[in-house]
Amino acid sequence: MKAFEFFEHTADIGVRAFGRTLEELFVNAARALYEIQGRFDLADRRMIKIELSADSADELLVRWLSELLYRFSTEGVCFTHFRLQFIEPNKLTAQMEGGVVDFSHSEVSEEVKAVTYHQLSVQQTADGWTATVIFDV
Amino acid sequence: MQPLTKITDVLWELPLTYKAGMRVCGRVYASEAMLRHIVGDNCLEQVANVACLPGIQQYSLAMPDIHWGYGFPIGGVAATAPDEGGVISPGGVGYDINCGVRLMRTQLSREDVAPKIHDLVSQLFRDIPCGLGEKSDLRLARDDERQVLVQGARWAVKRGFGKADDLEFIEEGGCMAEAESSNITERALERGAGQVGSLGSGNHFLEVQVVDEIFDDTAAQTMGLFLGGVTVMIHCGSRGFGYQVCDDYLRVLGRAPEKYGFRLPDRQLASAPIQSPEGQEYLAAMRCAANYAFANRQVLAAKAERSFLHALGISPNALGMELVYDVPHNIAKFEEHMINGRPRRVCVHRKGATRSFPPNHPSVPARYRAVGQPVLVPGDMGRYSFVLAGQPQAMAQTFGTVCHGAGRVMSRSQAKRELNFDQLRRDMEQRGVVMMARGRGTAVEEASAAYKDVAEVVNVVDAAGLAKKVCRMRPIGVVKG
Repeated sequence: MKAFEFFEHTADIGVRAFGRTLEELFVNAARALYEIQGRFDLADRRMIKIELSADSADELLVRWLSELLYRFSTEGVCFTHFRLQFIEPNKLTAQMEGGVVDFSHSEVSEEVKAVTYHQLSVQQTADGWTATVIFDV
Repeated sequence: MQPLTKITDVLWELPLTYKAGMRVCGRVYASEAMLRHIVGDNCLEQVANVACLPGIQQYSLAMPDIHWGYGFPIGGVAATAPDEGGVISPGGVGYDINCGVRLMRTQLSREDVAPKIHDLVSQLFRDIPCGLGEKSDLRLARDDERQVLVQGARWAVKRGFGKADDLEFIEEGGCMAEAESSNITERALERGAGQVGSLGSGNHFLEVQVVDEIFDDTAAQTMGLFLGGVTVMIHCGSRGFGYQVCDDYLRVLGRAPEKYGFRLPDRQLASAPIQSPEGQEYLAAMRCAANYAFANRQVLAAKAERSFLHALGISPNALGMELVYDVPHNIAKFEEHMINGRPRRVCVHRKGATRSFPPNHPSVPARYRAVGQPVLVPGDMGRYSFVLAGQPQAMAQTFGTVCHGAGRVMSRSQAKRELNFDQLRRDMEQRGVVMMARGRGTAVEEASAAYKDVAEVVNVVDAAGLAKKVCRMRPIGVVKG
């Protein structure tokens, strides 16, 4: 199963993410978020645990990606290993491991400004889960 | 062209029947040749969605640089009336609140700068933090940052960035009143703390340009612009601070439609009545972000001036860098407009659209009052940009608004598939443009081929009488994130 693919959006970047489980779906969407922004060399290992909840699974996806984006933008942290647990489809805990980006040794690309709600969806399919999300760049 | 009906050669109407829930018609400013792209994009659907906003007045408008955005189309304009349950929508402003353009003129001519253009661009690239991961050399303590949110460009002037005379030439005097920082989240403050005086990435840029064509001598002279003269253009906004404010308030306003009993076709259009507590809170926070952006561009301009002095080894007097004007193009503001023959105070959302006030309007600085407000319309980095002057038809037809740029025709991924960085740099060199960019992929996405020809865009607003062309500038140096 493909992890994610980009789709055409005139001004911004659309991502379709896939996963056999909701956990895999959320992790693959996170990897897409990082890939848009570049290929990073990481120093200073970091580990954290977070809990997030929202009104629905698709809003939780926005919350999740926004959380990663916030940590990337303020602390320069990129996470590479995830252990997610969904308490409900709209509530998760995540243990994450990654590192602080060494920008001088990284190939940087686009700054993602935000995770939008435009055409947002999280859907269960015959093969698992699919999500659509558009990033403002 | 379906589904649009022709009003004039440059104006097309999207009828109420296009989509259930539309409260007003859509109106699109475009030439017939541009319509093919517009109809093929998803943006007309977004024009129709905006027409569904409660309290919208007259038309959901689209400027000729319209393209598919999120919520509002890029190039979308809507005015809502507070006394008719009109709403404020963060989707009508965007994440990059008060993203805008600033133009500085100099006394220098092309010949003064061209021989040293490589040194100058390198100096600017060193001095102006740009691109992903680059922080500003200013790291603000919370108290200081809160001052930025309330004072805007005035804060920057107090700190020695530029001079007090600049303020008159910034829309709103560089400071939106009624900015209230008490509801700003810690997250927004943290994202903003290290970014005042940084350019960012994406389509943001700093350009060294040369005026290569004058269309209106009087207006150009009034603005201090002369043929062959060197100008500097900065395109940038409120950085992570604004993105976080928008994000925070989309969550708050996302629940408002249900609370206040209206339905919207796109969640990104989350809105609240202007007079509701949620609407008022967003407006106060949005103004903080707008002020952040005014301060940011003021600091960037001062840094650019220092880079010029250093790279060219000349005195401030010899450089003679002065602010022509600074315009926001992602913003919502209260303005008075004539609606059905009477003056009404409305909230004008400009999402990728620029204010274009005509001669004699009291909000136009005294210096420009005879010719109209300078409107800054950047094109793509390989071609040219325009200065226009606001005209009376903008007040009559578009709530005093025109376009903001060229508008994309190629998606970012398509641009990356079809073009590469080395080819782009060669192409830029052939055009006589020295470019330095932090992210190669980002630069490729911004190539000329990915954009409409901005000349076609400004010709439409000129033909419609919304603004008139004053002059055109070609880039000779480009700094990109």
